[in-house]
Amino acid sequence: MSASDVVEITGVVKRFGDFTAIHDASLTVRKGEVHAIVGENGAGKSTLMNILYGLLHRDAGEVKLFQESVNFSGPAEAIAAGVGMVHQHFKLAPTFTVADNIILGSEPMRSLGRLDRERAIRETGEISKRYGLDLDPRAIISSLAVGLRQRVEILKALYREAQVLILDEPTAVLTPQETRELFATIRTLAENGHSIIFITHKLREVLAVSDRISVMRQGRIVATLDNKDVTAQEIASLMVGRTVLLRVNKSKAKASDEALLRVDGLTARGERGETAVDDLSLTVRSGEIVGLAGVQGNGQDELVECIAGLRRQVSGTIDICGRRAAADPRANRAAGLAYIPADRGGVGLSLDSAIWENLTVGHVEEFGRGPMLAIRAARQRAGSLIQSFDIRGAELDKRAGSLSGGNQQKVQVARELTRDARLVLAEQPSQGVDIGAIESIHRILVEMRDAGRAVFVISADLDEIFSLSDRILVIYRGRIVADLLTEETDAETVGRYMGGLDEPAPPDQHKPDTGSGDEASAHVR
Amino acid sequence: MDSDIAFSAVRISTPLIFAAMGGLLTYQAGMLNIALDGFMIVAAFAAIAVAYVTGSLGIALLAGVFFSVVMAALLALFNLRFRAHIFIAGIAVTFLAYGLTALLLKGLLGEDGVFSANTIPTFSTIEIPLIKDIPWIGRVLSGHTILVYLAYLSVPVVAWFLYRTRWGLRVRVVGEAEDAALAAGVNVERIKLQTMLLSGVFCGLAGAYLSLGYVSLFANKMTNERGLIALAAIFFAKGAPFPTALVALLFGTATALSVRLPQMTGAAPQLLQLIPYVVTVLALVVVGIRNARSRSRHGAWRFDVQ
Repeated sequence: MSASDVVEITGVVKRFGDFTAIHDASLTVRKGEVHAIVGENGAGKSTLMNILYGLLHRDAGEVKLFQESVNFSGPAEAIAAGVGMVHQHFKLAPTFTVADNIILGSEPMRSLGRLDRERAIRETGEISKRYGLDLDPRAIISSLAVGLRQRVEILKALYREAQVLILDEPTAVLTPQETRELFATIRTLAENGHSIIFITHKLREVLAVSDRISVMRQGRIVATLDNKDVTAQEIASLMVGRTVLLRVNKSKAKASDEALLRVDGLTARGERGETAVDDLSLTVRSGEIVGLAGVQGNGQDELVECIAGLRRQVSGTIDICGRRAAADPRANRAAGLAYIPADRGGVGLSLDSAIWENLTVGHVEEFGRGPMLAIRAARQRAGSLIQSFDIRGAELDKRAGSLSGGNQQKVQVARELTRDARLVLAEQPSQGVDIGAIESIHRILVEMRDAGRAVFVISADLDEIFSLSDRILVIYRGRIVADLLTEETDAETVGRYMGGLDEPAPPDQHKPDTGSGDEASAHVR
Repeated sequence: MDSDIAFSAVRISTPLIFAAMGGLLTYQAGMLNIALDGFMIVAAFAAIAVAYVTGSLGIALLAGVFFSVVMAALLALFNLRFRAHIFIAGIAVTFLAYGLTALLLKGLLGEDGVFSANTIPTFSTIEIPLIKDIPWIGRVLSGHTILVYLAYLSVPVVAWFLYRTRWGLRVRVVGEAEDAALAAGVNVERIKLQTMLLSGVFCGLAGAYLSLGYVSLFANKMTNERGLIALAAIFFAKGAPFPTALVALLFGTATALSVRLPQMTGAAPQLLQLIPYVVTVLALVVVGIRNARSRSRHGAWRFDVQ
């Protein structure tokens, strides 16, 4: 080990009961480097980092930090040793201020156990200035945009003087613009001697920002590579263990004139009573896949809920296959809606119920015998769905929650797409799904299109939008701000619309970042 | 209002305020402590039994607090250590407390249902200088016992700890976003244990007040679901100390009215005794409507059970 190695993980093993999540993983991270860890969902990236951060305990192996062997019993010790982690799901207290969240756990004190709020606010302001992460220390977290919340998380780690900063899927919730800013921050931190561990499965980002790349597959680190020596295709193949198609094979859409989804002048309020969807109109026709791009929180959720009948709009109409929709999920499904919600565990599936039951719900007309259920027939059908949709690890009586994210998704897809429904509403269809399963889910959606259904995909992932859709709509602040044909546009253009900049700016004006930011944008597409 | 009724409202609200401050701390730390009654009944019994044996109110008070904290520790053990659901564990602890006190009442003091002894000393009343001379207010606020004043003084103290200290910040974050606290290196279990034990301290004072504070008497289940009424106050005020105390005072006033009105109006006492419970139900209806409003007519369907 060389002196510049700040983290050295050797032969770490982690088991959860019978399941071995990490087999003999070894990894070194140098001072001042950006080290990406890539791998499919369930490959063990987060588990390994949670071990380094003290949230999980390893069963074997060694972790060295700054040349010293460590065995953290909790995040507090990891923080004290100079490790910070920004989790994929932000760990912030929403009704508290930025300053409160940043100081939590290492609060500046006055006598008698009192908090020193003034110092907290002053120090928070200072540190955000020092790293160029502009933030109002007195702002309440729930009022901040997602990108700013992420800054709070990063500042939280820097406030504790983290030398090693772990970022778990940091770009999942960001706009291309925010992503570029984040990458600039990451480069600045690395130049200041911080070591950044960057977990992701977006290959373009890996190439854009990292110095070295470690690939994880099935709990093992299968390779550590220098960025300059690899291509996205090579990394993808290492991640999956076979050659994968990064693009969906599909023919040109043959959209008919028949509108299966027609939204007209829709206005809906969000959870806090704000206008989330604002006089929005759109159409999805039979035989086409329309992608809705947009930064999370621009009204997508409310729009989807209105279409699914889970939210009552303030005004406007929705027609599903020619029938007027209401705030009634059952009626909308009867009209011809198949809905694949993003919230698999909450809305899509009952994770505590058996897989055959999950596959049968929504098909009860088929199997209902008066008040009784034709259980044998339902199980038989479930069994053949497991086969035909290749739901791995599924047994009829196992809990749906025992499946991996990708296979849970397949259960939803199998159930919804075998209904006689001509409009497919797929919300984040590949979120938390590994590359292999994404391939097959995308293939199924294309088949649905070719069979004359209308497919409406809502995704925060631009890659997914581009590889899947025939037409791209961009939603910004509750309105559709662009309607583009996929082959006639590019990610930069869509990204600008997503950020609310309707007019494409001259090339020299839309690059406010430093050099590293430009480098990042060059890799985006 | 008649100053007598106001005086008894202040007095009757005392155990409610103690219990509400105790329940509020666990509420802020994200735990629904439905065992407040269990803590209180144990404290009430321990206090009167020790007062009967030793003749010392101070030792009795300490005993009440001690045994209430023991019950709190038991609930913490079930919930935090053995991971029993707080609701189930809370019911178990409460039933255990009711049963245990009834058993010990028979076994130790040889009484069925009710125990009282005129040998037990009572708390002396405190006349507050200056205030006692103010008309009406003096007759309402002055002349209570030390525990009554302690209850009302505990409200700003609890508020100060919650909103001014590091401990309070951590308690509130644990309650709102446990994973955020955990990730920031806060010892979540310890915070929860601390609030639970403090809940025991407050309920100890409430229980001791019930059996010794006014008349020296213990009866089985004498808390009369005051713990649940305190919880209703906490819910109504969303766990903020001053509003919670105010709502507890409202409930106490309703009780005072239900005690006094039969004498004054001649109406059936059974009917008027419903007042505090009706007020509680009404308060919870208000909470329900308020929550429904904030979700709004245009809100999404809720799937999570809260």
